[in-house]
Amino acid sequence: MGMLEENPKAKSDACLACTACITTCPITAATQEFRGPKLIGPAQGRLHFAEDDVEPSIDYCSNCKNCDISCPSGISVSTLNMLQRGAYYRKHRHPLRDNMLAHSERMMKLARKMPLGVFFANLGMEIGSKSGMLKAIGIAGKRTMPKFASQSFLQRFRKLKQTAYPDKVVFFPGCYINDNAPQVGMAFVEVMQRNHYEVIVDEKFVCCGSPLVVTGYLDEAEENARKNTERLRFWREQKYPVITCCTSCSLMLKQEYEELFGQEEMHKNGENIFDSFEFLWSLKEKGRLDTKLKPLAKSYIYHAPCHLRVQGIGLPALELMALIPKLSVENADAGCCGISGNYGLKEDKYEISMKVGEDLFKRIEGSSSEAVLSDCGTCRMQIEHGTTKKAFHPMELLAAAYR
Amino acid sequence: MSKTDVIVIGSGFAGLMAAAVSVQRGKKVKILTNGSGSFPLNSGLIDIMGYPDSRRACSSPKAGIDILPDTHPYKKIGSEAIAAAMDFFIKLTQEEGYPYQGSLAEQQWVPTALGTMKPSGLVPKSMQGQCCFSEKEILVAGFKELKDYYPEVIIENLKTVLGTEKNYTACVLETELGGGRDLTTVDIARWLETEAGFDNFCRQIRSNLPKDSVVILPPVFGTKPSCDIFERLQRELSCRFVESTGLPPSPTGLRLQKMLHAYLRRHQVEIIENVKVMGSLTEGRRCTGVFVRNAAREQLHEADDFILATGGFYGGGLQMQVFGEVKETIFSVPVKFAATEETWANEELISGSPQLFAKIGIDTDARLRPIGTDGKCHLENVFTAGRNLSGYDFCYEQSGNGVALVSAYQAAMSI
Repeated sequence: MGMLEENPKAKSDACLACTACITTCPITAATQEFRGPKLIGPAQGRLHFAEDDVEPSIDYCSNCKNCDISCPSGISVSTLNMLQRGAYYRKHRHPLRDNMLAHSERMMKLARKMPLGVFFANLGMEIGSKSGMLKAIGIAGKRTMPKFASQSFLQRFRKLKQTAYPDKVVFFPGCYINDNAPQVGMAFVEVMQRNHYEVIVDEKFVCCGSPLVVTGYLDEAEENARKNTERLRFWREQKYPVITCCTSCSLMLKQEYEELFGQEEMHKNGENIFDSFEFLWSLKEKGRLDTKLKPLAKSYIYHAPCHLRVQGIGLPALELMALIPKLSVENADAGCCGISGNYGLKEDKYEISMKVGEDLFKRIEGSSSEAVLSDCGTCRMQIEHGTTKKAFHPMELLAAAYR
Repeated sequence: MSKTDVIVIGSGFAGLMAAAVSVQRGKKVKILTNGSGSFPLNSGLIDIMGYPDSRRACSSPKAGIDILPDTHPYKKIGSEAIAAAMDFFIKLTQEEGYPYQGSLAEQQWVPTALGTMKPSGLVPKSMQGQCCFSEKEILVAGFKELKDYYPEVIIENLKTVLGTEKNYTACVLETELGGGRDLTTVDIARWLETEAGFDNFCRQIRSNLPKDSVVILPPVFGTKPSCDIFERLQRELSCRFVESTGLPPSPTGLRLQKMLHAYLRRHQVEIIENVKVMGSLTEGRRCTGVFVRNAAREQLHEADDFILATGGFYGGGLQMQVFGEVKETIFSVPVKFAATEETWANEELISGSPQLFAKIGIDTDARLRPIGTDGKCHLENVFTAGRNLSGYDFCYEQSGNGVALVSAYQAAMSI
């Protein structure tokens, strides 16, 4: 845990014990079993020299990062938690369930190489769910597992003929968009082409590592970070911005690599990484965005993912949606949805996850909007599970307004 | 980022109030915030003025303000704006359904977790403790496993303030919340928000309740800015409840925060979370924008006017690395340090004497614009609100939240 001392954002000693993180933490509000971010991150972090001193309730932290948002001393409390969880699992065995949740990229890479692999992956999930097998290994039985798309984003992208432009951006699809929501990635390419950008997809990128970090596979996450850092350096040197449509991927690449693994270079690369709507908004400011948008007479409610809020860039998708004529988008502003990546997929965290999302679900159901917009894939999954409404990535809507 | 009319830096009580007043004046407002303010440490009370010059409470906030020195922010702002700020706040709380009461003409008395009665200025309904003086039966209720709230101790102290001729009863209630952490008033407040918790609480208090009692208990009537739990309890149990102040984290501070956020949301105030404002861009004596650091890079936010509500030493608005050199890092406002190593702090923390360091802060003109080294305003369109102002010791005076409210109002009205 060398990073704890070296990285000022992760410094335990800056904690004044003001309790802002405890009162903001959605998990602390949902269960008395969690001792809260202050006691786990900064307080326990100070004891990291005591080798076997592990705070058992660290398992409850979902890494949603509301503690970081609330902290007046600028401490990345959640990162301290993840460093401690990683240290724990260097000495303890992972449950099978965590192994599965952390490595969906590996599984899907295999499945896509086999004939009918995706069909069987989906079938396997369905049988696993109906037979209670998933529940038996600790995956929430009440949940519909995310469906894998028959064709991945990469498979669809390879077949696409783009118009070549001198301006280029590099797209980092991330696992969820690649395997579960390729239409979001395709919408992004369409939007960039409309704005006279050519999109490059670098197939040497691997999973950003977010699912590995939260399940305590810190060494594997560092390995992924190392591989991606090499590619990110390459694209930075080419002066091509790297863009993601997934707010957890962008947070990992921009900020968490540096916080967790502490290399100077990761910070430099971070400056070249953009959330897709953050990038589009910067085009708007330069007068470089095509603003000929078709009216869409529809109403949506927008949920800002926590991993976007923590980036300190405001809510750029919401600002951009306001440019679409006749479109009405209200901001739900009702806190965390509760899923936090793979946290809510765990059987023993399912009830907590649904309790955290309660306020948001009520807000969405009580709104007259016909559907929901959110930049995060697992947030959308949770919203569709917890409400009767459909959820889309705002990029899908923007692409529609350009058509 | 798109340019706005007013940028407020900080989302503590002063920042949120400055935004509320600005937006009410028809301005487009953006808040930039690093952290969510110190509301968990905030009693939720708006103390206007309790002890201007001695350990004897002044008869009214107005009487206290009248005898303050000219260097005090209240004196710069003036009594008209103080009254207008209080009116603005009361109206806001009524609109939001969590009304506060109080005036410059009289102190509001609130019981504390130690069993003293403290003077305050504007007080939410559930904390009004005037009835403790008039009623004869006082029941003090604590909760099992809630630390630092001991009904017997509270009663012993209350006797010295309220007199020994009343009937005092202590009781300890149970939440059966269990779990692996220390119980806090926020946990109990969340428990009371559930039907099961509410019923359980009613059952227990009913069996302890002498007729026509005033029930004093820690601040536990929910975490939301609403009087529902308080009013329902008074109705169902036909007695008078008073929430005292308590230890952090404070549900009453969180209610204040949630109320202001709800107000700002309804009025379309934009809040950019988790950004640290690093510096400013100026043209002559005007500021045109501030630089923030976000997750990956620096970004410029532009506006016509700026309100600096970054707090004092605790909130990070003022910093001192080298003794005697106090810095405000965003606008590089000069901050005087009128103290020596011998006088800056009074070593006895709980001595009942003021602390000189508490009065260190930014000197301003009447419109709350910081004064530069040349004696003129430092920047024409930068205004200051809250704890980074010089000339007041909120702990000693008991003017916490009061100076913040009034200076936020004045700063926003000066634009």
